[in-house]
Amino acid sequence: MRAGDALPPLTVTVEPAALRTMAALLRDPNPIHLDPAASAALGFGRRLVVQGPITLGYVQTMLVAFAGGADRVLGTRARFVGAVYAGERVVAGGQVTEVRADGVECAVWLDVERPAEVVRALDGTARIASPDRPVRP
Amino acid sequence: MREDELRARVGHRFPGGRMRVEPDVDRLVRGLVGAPPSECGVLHPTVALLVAQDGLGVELEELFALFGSSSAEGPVLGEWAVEFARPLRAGVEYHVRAVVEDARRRSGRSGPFDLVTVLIELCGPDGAVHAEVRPGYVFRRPG
Repeated sequence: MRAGDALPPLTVTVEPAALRTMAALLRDPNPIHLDPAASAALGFGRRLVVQGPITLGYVQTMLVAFAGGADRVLGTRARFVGAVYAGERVVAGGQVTEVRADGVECAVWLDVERPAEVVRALDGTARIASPDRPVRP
Repeated sequence: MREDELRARVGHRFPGGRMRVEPDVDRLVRGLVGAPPSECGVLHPTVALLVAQDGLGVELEELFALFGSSSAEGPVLGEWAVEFARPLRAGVEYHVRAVVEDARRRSGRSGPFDLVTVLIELCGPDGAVHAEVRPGYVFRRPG
């Protein structure tokens, strides 16, 4: 593993039902995730806005696969820079930026594939355990 | 909400609480974010947000109200950070404590907004902090 290595991407189409389940799990009453009319009234068009924990979750799933397990993810930091809507196809990706004794630093992101363009929805960094480091208890 | 009122919320402590995530909740979350089931009881990193938010001791609507907003105004998660000192595990009870760490008024393409960062610490049965979670909530304000 070295700086510049690409993390294998994860491509997913966001199922609308996932938004309802996540809203229930988070007890999140925000109507932009559940009600197209409310979403339109707040400037998002008649589209359901995917919750941040779902979009971030795709990135973390991609990261867990690359790191070799959830116990090897030491931290993540992300900014949500654009909305993702239910039904859209997204790609979680990343790149190794630095390999150190105490961990591997990565840039991570989530892009939305729209008919005319690819739009970045999430931008962040992550730190995973070095490949030669034992799994933490 | 005036900017001085916003800044005065920094240091506000939430009631906190105790949280335990059962394996089926982890499995459900993994299904939502395209991850295979856990084979060793370690929770998917996204579950840390559920533990943190559930352990605040208040409903999200109460958190929004603290900043003069409500879900009807469409506040969103603008940032997120988590640091794991140890992996979180299913079936383990975590003591959750939380405080408003930062609250700032900013200006963006769509007008002014407030960014509120909450530090949520998940402490394990040994009393040590196993994870620090920092959700950043965005409240849009009238221009």
